Formats: sequence, C-alpha cells, structure tokens
Amino acid sequence: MGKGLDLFQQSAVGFTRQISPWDTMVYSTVNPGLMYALVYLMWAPFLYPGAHMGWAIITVSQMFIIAGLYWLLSCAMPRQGGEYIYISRILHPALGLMASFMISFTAISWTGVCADWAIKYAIVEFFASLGIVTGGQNWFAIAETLNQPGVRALIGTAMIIIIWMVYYRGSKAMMKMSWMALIGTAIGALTYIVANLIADPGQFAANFTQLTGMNYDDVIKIAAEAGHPTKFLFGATVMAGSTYIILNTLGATFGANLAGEVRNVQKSQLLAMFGSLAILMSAWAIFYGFSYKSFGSMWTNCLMFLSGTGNAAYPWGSYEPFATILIGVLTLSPIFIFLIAMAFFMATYGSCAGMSFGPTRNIYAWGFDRLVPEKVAEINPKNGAPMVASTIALIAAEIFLLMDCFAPEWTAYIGYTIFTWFLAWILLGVSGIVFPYRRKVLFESSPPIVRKRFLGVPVITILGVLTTIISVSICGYLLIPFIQGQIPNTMIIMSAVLMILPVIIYYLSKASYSKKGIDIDIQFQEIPAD
Amino acid sequence: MKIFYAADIHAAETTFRKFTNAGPFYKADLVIYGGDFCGKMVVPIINKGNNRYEATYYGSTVVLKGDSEIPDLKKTLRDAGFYFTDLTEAELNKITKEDVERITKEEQMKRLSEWVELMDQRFAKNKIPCIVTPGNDDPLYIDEALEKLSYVKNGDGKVIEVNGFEVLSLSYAHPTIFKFPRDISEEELAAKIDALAAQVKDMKKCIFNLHIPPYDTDLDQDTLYDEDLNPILDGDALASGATGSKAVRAAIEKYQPMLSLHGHVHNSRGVTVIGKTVCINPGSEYDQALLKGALIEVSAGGQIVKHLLTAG
Repeated sequence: MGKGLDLFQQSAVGFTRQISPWDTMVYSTVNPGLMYALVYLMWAPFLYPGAHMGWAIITVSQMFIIAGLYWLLSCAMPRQGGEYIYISRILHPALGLMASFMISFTAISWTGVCADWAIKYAIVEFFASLGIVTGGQNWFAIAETLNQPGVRALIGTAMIIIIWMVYYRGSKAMMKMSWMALIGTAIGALTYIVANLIADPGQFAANFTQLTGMNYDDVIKIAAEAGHPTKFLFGATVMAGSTYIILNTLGATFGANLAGEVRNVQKSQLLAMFGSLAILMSAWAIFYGFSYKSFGSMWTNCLMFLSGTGNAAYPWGSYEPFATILIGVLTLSPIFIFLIAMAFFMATYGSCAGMSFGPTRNIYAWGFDRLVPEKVAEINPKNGAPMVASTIALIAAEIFLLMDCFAPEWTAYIGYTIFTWFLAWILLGVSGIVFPYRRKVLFESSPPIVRKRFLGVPVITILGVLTTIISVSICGYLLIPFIQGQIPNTMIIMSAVLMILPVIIYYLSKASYSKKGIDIDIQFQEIPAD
Repeated sequence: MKIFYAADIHAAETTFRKFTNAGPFYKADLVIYGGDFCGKMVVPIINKGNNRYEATYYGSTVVLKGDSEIPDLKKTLRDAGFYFTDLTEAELNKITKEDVERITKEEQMKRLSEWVELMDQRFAKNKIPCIVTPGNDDPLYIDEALEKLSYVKNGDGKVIEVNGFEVLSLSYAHPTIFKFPRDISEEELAAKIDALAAQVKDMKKCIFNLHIPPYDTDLDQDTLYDEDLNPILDGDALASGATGSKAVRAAIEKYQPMLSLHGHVHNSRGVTVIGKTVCINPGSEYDQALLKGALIEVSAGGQIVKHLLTAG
C-alpha cells in the first residue's frame, strides 16, 4: 500500500517540505535567551519568597499546553504571522492587532531593557566584581562611572544604533548576531559549570565572610528577621516558576510560525517544540542546581531577598548579586569573572537584536493591512528590508532603554512584559476555544489532527480553555507582588497602555482611510460561498 | 471602473465559490482571475474492508468507520484543494504511475468542468464581465475545459477589450524550481508577451494579467528551497528571495501598462510600482477557504484611483 500512496505523493505538483525538527528546535531554544535565567535567579526569590528555583522548573510543563495550541493553530493557518493571523481571523482584526502589538512591543522593550542589562550585569558588575575580589578601589570607581544612568544610556544607544545597522544589512548579519548569542550562552554555561565544579561550598562561605565582613550564616538569619520564610514554599515555587522561568520559554512557540507552504502535519515539528522546552529545562537545572549547590539554596534566596528589599545588611550596595559577583566570590579568579561577564554580554546583546527582528515584520504586516499608517510597510529599495518598521521598533527600544536607565520603576523586574504577554495570550486562548465554532469552514478543512475531539469536544477548544486558565493564573501571580508593593503600579499602567494603544490606532486608521473612501474593514469581510 | 482580481485558487471549492460571488460582493465592474485552477494532489480514499476507510493527507491518516463519514471527508478534501479517488486496498497495491496520471487528469478535468459551468452561470446572472487565464501550475490539457466557457472569457494568449480597457493575459512562466507544466525559458516568455503587447492599442488603459510576477519586487519574495524542496533557514527566519520572472519585469518596464496583475507567489502579497505601472499580487491562502484578492478603482482616463488588498 505504501508504494501506491507514494505514487500519488510523487505526482503531486509544487508541494514543499517543512523546516527540519532540528532547525525548529535550535530556533525555539535560543529565543529569548538562556542566560537570562541568571537574572531571574535574583528576582524571582525576592518577589516570591520561599520559591525553590530548582523545583520551579517543573512549572514549565504548562508551556507544553500553550505550545500545543500554537501547533494546532499553525497547522490550520500555517502562514507566518502567528497570533496576529490567528486572532484577527478568528475573533476580530482589532483584537488581532491588539494581541500582536502587545507581544511585539513587549519583545521590542526587551531590546532596550536588555541592552541596559548587558551594560549593568556584564560591564559594570565585571569591574565591581574585580573590586570586590581584589579590594582595588579603582575598579569600583570605574564601575561607579559606568553605572551612571547617563553613561549607560549613551552606551546602550550606541548598541541600539549598531542593531539598526545589522537590520539594514539584512538577515545574514542577523544570523551572525544569533550565533554570537549562542556561542556566548555556551561559554557562559561551561564557565558556570567549571567554576562550580572546582570550588566547594565551604570555600564560597569562607570567601564571602572574608570579602564582605558579614558572616555567611547571618544572611539567612537577617533575611528571616526581615520576613523571609525559613523553608521553601509550594505556592511561591509555583508562582516564581510560572512567571520568571516561563518567561524564558516564550520562544518555544516561535517555531510554530516556521511552517511550509502546505498544512502538512509534522509530528516531529511538535517534538522539536517540546524538545526545545526540555533543553531549556535542562539548562536551568544546571544554572540553578549549581547555584544552590555552591552558594546554598536557602542562602541564595535570602541574599536575593536582602538585595531586593534594599536591606541595610546587604553587603554590595547598589550592585545586585548577579552571577559575575557570585562566581568571583566563589573562585576569586578575574578570569572566571571575565568569562562570565563576556558570555553574558555576548548572549544578551545577540538576543537584544533578535528580540526586535521578528516584531519589525509584524509592524510591517499591520501597515500592509492598513491597520496602522501605510508608511510603515515601506520596503527600502536598497536592501529589501522594512526599514521604516525597523526604525520604529528601535526608537521604541531606545525609549525603553532610557526608561530603564532614568526611570527604572517603569521597567521594574520587567513585570509588565510578563503581564502584557499573558494578557495577549488570554486572547489566543479564547481564539482556540471558539475556533471550531466561529470559523467552521476553516476548522472543517483543517488537517485531521486539528479536528480531533476528546469526549466530543474539539481538542483545540480544550487547549484554548487551558491556555486561558494558565494565562489568567499567571497574570494573577504577578498581581500578588504588585499588591504587596514589591512591583510598582507602573506595571499595570504600562500593560494598559500597550493594550489600549493599538485599539486607538486601529480606529484612528479606520477613520483616516474612511475619509479617503477606503473601508479597511471590507478587506476582512467574508464573501458568501453560495 | 472597479476591478476585482484574484489568483491561485488551486481546486479549493469554497474559495472558488467565493470568487464567483466576489463581483457583486465588492460591487466590481470587471473580475479578473490570474491563473492556477488545478489542485496539487489526488488523495486516495482506501476501502479497507469491513466498512472501514482510510485517507492520508496533510501528513496524517484519517480512519473512517463507515460509509456515512465519506461525504464529510470529501467535502473537507474539496475545500482544501485536494482531489480524491475511491480505491480498494488491492487496487491501490496494483496501481501504476500511468494510472495515477490518468486519475489525476480525470479529476482535474471533472472539477474544472463543474467550475466552468458555475462561473458562467453566476457571472452571467450578475452581468459582470470576467476574464480568466490558467497559470503555470495548470496542465495544458485543461485548456479544453476552459474553451467551453461562454459568458466568462478565457483570456490566455489574448488581448480582450472591456469597457474601453484592454486586458492582456498569459499563463506561462519562466523556469521554476518546481518544473511546472507551463514553465518556458525567459526568452520564450519575453517573445510571447511582446507578441501580445503589439496588439494593444493604448498601454495607458491596458491591464497586464500575467500569472508570474516581475523579478525582484515585493511581489515575488518567496521561501527559498534546496533541490529536495526543503526550505532553507537564514538567521532566525525562513530564507527568502526573488523568484519572479526577469522577462515579465522587462516587459512592464518597456510597455508601462496602467496596471499589472500577478499571482504564483502565494506568500508575496503586495503592491509595488515599476515606473508608472502599479503592480499587484494579492497572495493566496486557497486551502483555508479564504479568497485573497485585490480591489482596484481606475478612472475613465486610466488613472489608478485607489487599491485595496482583500481577504474574504
């Protein structure tokens, strides 16, 4: 029977294959970036005291459900564009624009904020770590100078201008940036593993006491007196994992957009998406496992808590307890400090460029559909790239960089990015729920796997319900530190702006085109078949 | 005059039915179809015995547990642009390449004949002129079915006048990686366009309806494939590049018609301007029951007043 079916397949005209599972897995794994796990190791235990970051990795399993929904929607509507296409087509173009705008500008904001992280945690903390380890005040002076908001803004602006030039040169140059991020991540992981293997926890405790003058054991005592729990808590672990660890897995859904010409279902494609999640979970297990082993699990959380709450006992002042400092204290080696700093810079800067690259294509698509002014869909004749859209994205990234430097309360713990992203995914979940009913013809003509049912209910509807529940829960988890005052109300304001702005833009655009006699809604109205 | 244009429906039933209704829906005065009527594959529905059937498409095998489920499957396949044939397992095991080619031809001709009838009926009823052409995916033998059109005109290789405007249509393409039935050399393609252009009275009021888009424009950017038709990755996106025809681009640059309409590259939906000519590719998502098209309003003097890409 196989031979007969093959003959029918071979006589098919113009069918193309799909992206290989390997390519999809690499693509999904490198976005947004593995090394950010080291930043979230500082923040999550402070915002969710009692969270065990090792066990928190298990909460990533929620992403399997969301990745599954993306996979089925991409089988039904395989063109590039992701949630913009799905939500526009299933719910309404204005809602599609809203979700796409929220996700795109969240990613763009990371370009600006993470450029500042590359400066703060790689460059500034490199010099601060040298100062801590060697006792040389000159190193602190350099770190202090570089840590000035104006200096960081200048360096960050130069970094964003270079990213603009990379976009101008096209996707080949972008590929080099992606490789830089990947190599940086590999160097960082290797350095972290070697540093933790050659030093023992006793050495870290002794070095810490000697370098800071604060007894290693006092960290837990002082944190406990300040209200930190003395044992790990299940709820805090779930919430920390569901917010900050999941934040690093959002790229696992990007692979769903790499579909071919035909809605061919590749189970290996799904496996690649799940495989990337498994790789990410393994990488965090290394980072968090070694951190807890070398520094002490509860001790690490307590130090992060003291730093986050601005406790007077925290020994390093305005320098956050990032890996550069902790590895320096562990090894007392400037070489390890340099390697971690360099790796974090390469990984962060490489991913900074990548995080706005995709959204520039989304901005182009909105302009193309006239949901925003058409000008943004202009293609540069010299390089064939949407440079107006790229420039808009990088101007927005620059604004977020300046906010992170001069008004950090607006980007605090990047809480708004998680909140905004999952608000957008609520719309995605609702799209999944209603897809079989609102777009019956498209659903019925979808590949069989999309039309599978469980107890009579379409599987895609079930995944939509679960995605909605997960997204609502994660937004709820972020409201807890917000209510407790650890995350400022700027998180809500920022998310609200990112949510409302696209709707205003849509209706302004609609009114503007209407004056020219063009009804932009007609382009989405369905023609009757009979 | 308001013109509606679409292309690349590739045997998808609901999308085609939407096309036949697009004229009155968009209040168009002229409807043009830019090629590629035929679907890409026949799906055998295999009778496995004991009232069980199997069909494999989109990389999945679907099992039917009774005759009653077959009509639904056939509708699904039609809407997605597939043909189908009923076979027993024994027949499938004995099938030859020649049999598959014969079945494919029969199914293509059968569906297109139904469509020819439907097109004529609906456009005549609405009194909206319609000009169609095949595309390079379409085997040459389908011209026989298109010859039966009466109200709707098969414009392939002709210049047809409608309301004072001339429509020059051509189905052929340059050599593509897929080696389609109407792929010819760039030189031959240029010669065919030149021969037709010589018949045009006024290029300022002429519409080119050429299936293949002009080379290296917003209309011909497509995913690049290796020789085994696997897509190539470039950085963090699918590698894409120009896939259009240099002969088509040269013809537009040389003759400067009022409007040039194209299809073929489904993912390169766009509008571009070459010299004074507005060029459009509406793209296609035929298998999702979605008719992508372009609505263009032109003045009596041959000026493009406005244009809008649609997704109905």
